[in-house]
Order: sequence, then C-alpha cells, then structure tokens
Amino acid sequence: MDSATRREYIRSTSARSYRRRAIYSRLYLLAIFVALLIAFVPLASILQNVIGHGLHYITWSYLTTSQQLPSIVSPNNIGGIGNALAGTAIVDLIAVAISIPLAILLSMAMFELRSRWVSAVRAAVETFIGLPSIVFGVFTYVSLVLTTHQFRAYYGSLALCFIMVPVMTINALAALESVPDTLIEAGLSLGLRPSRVMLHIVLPAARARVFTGIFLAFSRAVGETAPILFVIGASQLPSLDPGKQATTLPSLMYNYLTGSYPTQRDSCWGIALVLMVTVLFFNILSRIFVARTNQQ
Amino acid sequence: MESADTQVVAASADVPADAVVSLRDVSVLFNNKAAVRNVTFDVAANKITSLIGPSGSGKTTLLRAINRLHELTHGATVTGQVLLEGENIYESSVPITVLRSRIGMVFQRPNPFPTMSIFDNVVSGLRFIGIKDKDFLAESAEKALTEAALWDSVKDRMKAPAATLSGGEQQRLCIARAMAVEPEVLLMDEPTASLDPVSTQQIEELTTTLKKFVTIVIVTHNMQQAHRISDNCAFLLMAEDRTGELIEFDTTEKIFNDPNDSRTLDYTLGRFG
Repeated sequence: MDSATRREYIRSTSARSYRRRAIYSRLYLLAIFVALLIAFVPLASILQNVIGHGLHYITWSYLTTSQQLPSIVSPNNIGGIGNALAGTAIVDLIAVAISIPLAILLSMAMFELRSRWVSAVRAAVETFIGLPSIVFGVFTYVSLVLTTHQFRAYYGSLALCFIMVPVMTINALAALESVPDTLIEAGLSLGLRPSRVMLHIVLPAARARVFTGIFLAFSRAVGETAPILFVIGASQLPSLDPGKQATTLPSLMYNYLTGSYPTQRDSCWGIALVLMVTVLFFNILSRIFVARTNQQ
Repeated sequence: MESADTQVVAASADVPADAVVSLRDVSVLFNNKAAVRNVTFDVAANKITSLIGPSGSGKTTLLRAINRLHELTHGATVTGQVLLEGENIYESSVPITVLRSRIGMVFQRPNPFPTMSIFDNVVSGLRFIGIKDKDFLAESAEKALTEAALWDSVKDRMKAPAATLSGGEQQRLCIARAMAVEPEVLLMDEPTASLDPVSTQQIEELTTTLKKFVTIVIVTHNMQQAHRISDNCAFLLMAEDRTGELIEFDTTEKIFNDPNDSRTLDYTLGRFG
C-alpha cells in the first residue's frame, strides 16, 4: 500500500467509526438519564412518605415534651420525643468528643511513622469500617453492660466511637497524604520541627477533607440503632447525665415499632422526619464549612 | 477525504500554494482574557516552522489552537481562522477526530500509554478507530518506527511494556505513535525539554529527517535548537497587558542574523529571556 492509499484508508475508517460512535454516544447518554430517573424513584418515594406522614407531628410540644407511656384508657397519650432528642444529643456529642481527637491523632501518627506497622493498622482500620455495627454493640454489651450490670448513655457513645473513629481516620489519613510533599519540604527546610510542620502546615492544608470525613462519620453515627440499642437502656426523662440510661431517636423508633401501640408506631414517621432533617442540616453545615475553608 | 474544491480555495485566495497550515488573525482567550492575539502566518509544507519566545508569550497556547485542543478547556475560545489546506478547521464539517488525525501532536513529557506494549502504543491511533487488519497494523508499526528511528532498537521486543524504554526512546515512541496515523502536520510542544542532551540531539536529527514525510511546527524555548533545526521562525512576545503577540515571522536565517524588529534581535542575542 502506498502512502496516499494508506492515508485514504485511515481517514475513511476514522470518519465511518466517528459516525457510528456519535450515535452510540447519544444512546448511552439517554440510558444514563433513564437510569438516573429510575434511581430517583425510591428516593422520591421515601421523601414523599416521610414528609407526608410525618409532617403533622412536628410541633413544638412534640419536640420538647418527653415520651409518655400510653395506657389502655388513654392510648393516644404518647407524649413527644424530647427525651430522645436530649439522649441523642448527649450520646452523639460524647462520641464525637472522643472520636475526633482520637482519629486525628491516629491519622497523624500513621502519616508520620510510615513503618510496616502502619500498613497493618491501616488494614485493621479499613476492616473495621466494613464490620456490621451490631458487632460493636454486642462487644460493648458484653464488656461493659454485663460487667457493671448497668445501662449507661456513655456506653452508647463508646460503641459509636468504634464506628466513627475508623471512618474519620481513613479520611483524615487520605487528606494528609494528599498534601503535596513540597509543602512539607518547605516547612522542614525553614528549620521547623516535624511536629510543627504537621500542626501548622500539613493539617491546615488538609483541613477541608478532614472535616468532610468528620461530618460523614457523624452523619452515619446519628442514625445508628444497633450498636447503642443494648447498651444505653431507655429513659423517659430528658436527662443529660451520661452515667444514666438514655433514649436516642433511633432507639426510640425501634422501641415504638416493636411495641404494641399503633399510635406509637405511627409517630415513628415524625421521628424519621426529625432524623432526616438533622442529617440534612449537618450535611449542609459541613458543605458551608468546607466551602468557607476552601475560600481561604 | 474531500480535496479542497475551488469554492474553498476562492474563499481564502491569499493562502500561498505551498502552505499546509495558515493562521489568520488567530487569538486564544481564556475566560475572555486573551492569552495570545492576532497571529497570522503560514506554515510551509515539508518544512520545520518553530515558535520561539520567552515564557508566557503564548507559544504553546497557539500551538494547541492548531489541533483544536483548547476545546478540552472550559472557558477557552479561539477566534480567527486556522486553515488546513485552505479549509478552516474550526468551521469544517469534517468530524473533529478526522481533523485531529491529520494534525498530530508530540508533547513535552513523553507520554506513552503506560498499560500497553510498544506495538500496541504505536498502533493505538489506528486500532481504536476500528482498523483491525493485522497486516496493515504490523506494516504501519514498522513504517512509523522506522520513520522515528526506533525500529532497530525495538523490533525484537515489540510486546515489551512501553514503560521499559528510556526517556529518549519513549519520546521517539510517541513520535512513531503520532506518525502511524499518517498526519500531514506534526505539532511538537518542546519535545526535548525533559530529555538529556544525547537524546535531545537524536530527536533533533530525527526531526530534520521527518520533514520529508510531514510538515512540522515546533515550540521551543531553546532558541539555539530553533536555529539548528528550523527553516522558518515565528517570534512571539508577551505585551504589557500580558497577552502574547507575533513580533516577527521569517526564515530562520533572517530572524537570527538580520531581524526587522529590535526586540527579536535582543531575544536572539540573549539580552532577555
């Protein structure tokens, strides 16, 4: 084949395949949109049901008054979710207060040390993320509840730490590793100690991603039911004492759903709506935070 | 491929007969700020045209306008006309993929596809448009590698991963890969900037022999290289408003020995860079 014929062959094959691929491209785009619509249907359905059935529950008294036990004579007297809100707050806040420093310190250690140990630790942490959360609940039950014969709110916090710390650590570690080496080198060559470089240069540079990891873990923990169910007991009082028993929104929902009063079961729609709005709220908060951080 | 018909030729009658690529008043803007503006010159067939100038003068930006690579960048606009054998490539009805196979490109850092063997790299441009004929591919690979002066080194290890080649060899592989689709023009964006002096010299020699087969436009910030290998030279400079402009376009002889503009003389004498 001489050069001119080769050229002709290449150009015409290219032109033909272009036309064919242009059609396929349109079809695939269409298929993607259809898949998107199909995926959207369950989401829309959930939103419609939760908001539709739950909205009328959201009143100030519902949110502030505590749970009351209905009886046969007054089956509609179920009270509100005030105790569950207080319980969720105390359990989650303690869990976050323990998890964040632990995760950041762990990720910094894994980043700095870079030894063979670190790979083993990393593998362990990644395995933890995949474990069903009920495992941590059982562990906490056996180690804390059975030994002390008590249900306490902070046992739930500890169980949640098992869930939050691995997620936060992996995200924080990825964030630290994404900081360009040149920044670390610049810091060290100014004569700064490695700890200072880490604290004042690397960590601020990785701030946005670290926060994203924290909020992700927190959102997951807020909705967790299984790990805290057997360890925090239940409380109808809106107490903020971590040493006492507590009720959280998910555990209240579980108790209502497995209870025998239809009014209780029905009010779970309201609880679900509150949970959804909480997670949405924190999600938006984290995005605003990250956007502000990136702007700087 | 339709040849330039009389209608198209009449529309741009000021294009010299031996010009393969012609730029007419080409400007490239990023988010409405011009990076390079109002560039007009002709690229002569089977000659090496170099774009020289200090950093920031818009040489690479201009080069990438020739194979419509700016369409990958959000917010980039190209105004003016880039004529390939008389037809404006920005308004052509020909599919862009065909246009781009007529104008090949070699980049500053050698970028062979890392997951493929040497043979697969060279024929990738042919295979992925649908040419499956094994004899044609083998023939194309040998032809392209010979043109890139790499055939003797790699003919016994065509299935070896491309990453096992040295830097200079990888760049020649990239040149072979570009040549395999039989382009009419080869754009080279500082092809020896990341290579050692020995490989640089080999590529320079290679480029000089390549012009038998293709027309070459090369961007280089090494003006001695431009002096060594190019036939024609375009000198670009960044103006006060940080937009690149074409200061002078002429034969390399004239640019380096007796330029019209004093700024060209200052640059070639190394007074600024």
